[in-house]
Amino acid sequence: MKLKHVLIVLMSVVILVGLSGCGGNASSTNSGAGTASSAAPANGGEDVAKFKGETINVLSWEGYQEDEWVKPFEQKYGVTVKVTYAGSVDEMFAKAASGSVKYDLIFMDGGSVNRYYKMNLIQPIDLAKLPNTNQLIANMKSLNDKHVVKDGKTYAVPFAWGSLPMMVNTDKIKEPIDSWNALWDPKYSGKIVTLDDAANQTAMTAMLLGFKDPYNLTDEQLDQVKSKLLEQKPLVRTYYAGFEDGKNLMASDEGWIGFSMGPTMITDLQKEGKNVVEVIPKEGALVWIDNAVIGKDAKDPELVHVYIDYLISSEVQAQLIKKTSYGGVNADSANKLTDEEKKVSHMDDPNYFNNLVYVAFPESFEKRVKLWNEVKAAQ
Amino acid sequence: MYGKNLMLIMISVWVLLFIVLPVSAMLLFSFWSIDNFQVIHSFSIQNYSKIFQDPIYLSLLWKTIKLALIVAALSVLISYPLALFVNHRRGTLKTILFLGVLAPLWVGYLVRIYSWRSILGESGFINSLLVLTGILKQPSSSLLFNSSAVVITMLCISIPFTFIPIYSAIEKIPGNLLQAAADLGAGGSRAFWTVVFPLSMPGVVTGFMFAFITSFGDYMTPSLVGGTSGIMYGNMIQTQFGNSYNWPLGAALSMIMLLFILAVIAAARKIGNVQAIFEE
Repeated sequence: MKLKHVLIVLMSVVILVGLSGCGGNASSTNSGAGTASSAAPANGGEDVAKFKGETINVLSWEGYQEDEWVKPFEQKYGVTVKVTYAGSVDEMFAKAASGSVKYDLIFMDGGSVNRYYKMNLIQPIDLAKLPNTNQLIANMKSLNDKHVVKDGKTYAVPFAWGSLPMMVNTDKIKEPIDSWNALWDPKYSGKIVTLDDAANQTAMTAMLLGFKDPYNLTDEQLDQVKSKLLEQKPLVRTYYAGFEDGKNLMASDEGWIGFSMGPTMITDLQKEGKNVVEVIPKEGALVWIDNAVIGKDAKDPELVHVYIDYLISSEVQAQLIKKTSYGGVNADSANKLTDEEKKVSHMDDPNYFNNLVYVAFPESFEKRVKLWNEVKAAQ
Repeated sequence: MYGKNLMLIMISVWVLLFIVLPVSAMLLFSFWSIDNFQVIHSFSIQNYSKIFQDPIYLSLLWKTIKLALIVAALSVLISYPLALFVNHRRGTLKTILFLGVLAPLWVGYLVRIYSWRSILGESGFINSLLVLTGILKQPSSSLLFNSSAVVITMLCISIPFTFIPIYSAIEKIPGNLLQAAADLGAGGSRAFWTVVFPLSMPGVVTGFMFAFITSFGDYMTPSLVGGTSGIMYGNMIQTQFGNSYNWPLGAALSMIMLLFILAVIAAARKIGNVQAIFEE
């Protein structure tokens, strides 16, 4: 009996030590292999083998990590790209902040970078390791840099973007529309649909009111935005609750004119046979730019750099544009698109950005949500 | 005996994991606050005082309660005759009718909301019918995106939940009681009001409570078919956990909602013998 107990204890010790030993061994062999192969130069100066067996944990939006471009990368470097998707900005933040998984690479709109930076969740990116940044659309990049460069260090690299334009059904509305004021025009009463979203509603209305920085409003300006939105309320058919909801309303003619969630919404409606066009009003429109950001505790930042550079290459960007109709960030990717694809994604017009206002980090989310809730609750 | 203990342990674990822990976490959160997107872990009642001082929260709470009461009352009014009717059928017809009332439950919640939107919409079923029959010259836009559209859609969701307890309460009434009533000279309506109705009360109260709770917490229906004023108390909670990143305030709002629901359940237990519905 006693012997048996001793044996059990011994065996458990052996198993435990063995397991931890294995873990230690595995990682040391890995790094050993890494140094060994980096000592031996690979073909073309690029050391394809040195990342073999590694994993990149990516926290991404749907559509950004498709097999068409992820698989070739995995095969080339012998690595695994492990993707977790988030359904909303909040979910993404919650996942990144919880720390249960250390994400090497996170995708977020440039306006959110500030928040992750403040909470010390991300690390700077070395642009010298990203040769493809030379091909980024220049005015887009400079717009983006204002929000993602902190203390002279770049924290994020653009990957995809989309504007939030106005959508107009030209079968129903013949006259030319060029201002957000159309969404306040009693002529279209009961035919206006607009987005149920505190942040975008506040910013768009602030632009219409001519406030210089729609993401940095004083309390008095916020009050003016609120009155303006209350003025619009009786004319609005409904505030739509999301991408599909908005499309559904325009497709069933409940709405003739509206605040759109992006050009993709409009091209989708066109595919359904609707004569809905995109309008960038003279006051300007909002644009979100989604960025690739490296997590604070990334296991191998060098590999993440290689992957980001690959993602912004003209090849991958052209695939992304074809697949999603989002705007791409690589100017050269336009050469790989058909005229139609270029037009739909606005890759044919480098001046498209000139009238777009960056979806940035607002003075206070809470104030804006409260404002919007008050507008909706008003009788 | 051993099996019974095991069951008891399993149920306790379930209650602990899925009820006690989340609710306690929520309660704890509701006394914290937020500063620069970081939760401040110190006790304060500021969330509650904010809720009770700002008219928007209480007025929405009141609006939501009123709406849920209307839906629950209508739900009972519709389900009761329906339950009586189905109860009086026999055989296959009874099964078909019973399943027919429950059928909406098999369809996804969002799908049901969207179906009502296409039924009530300008190019929808009802408008087409009204125009076709000449009642309306042109489709009306007044059917959708208002509070009656919300009530109709919520009814579609709540009726099965009201129907089941009322149906089972009526079904449990022993036939010989009605026989006795008839023998003592009670007519159909007298027998109903003196025998059937009082005995079905637990079902009515339970059904009312179910309908109230489902509509009270529903925020998707008002936002999808309620139009520009389609905001309810639930939407306020949602935006605190979402857009405004204020989990502590969202938790406090949820606690108030929970307290309210518990009060309704307590009242229901007091008024009608709710347990009787679940006992054989």
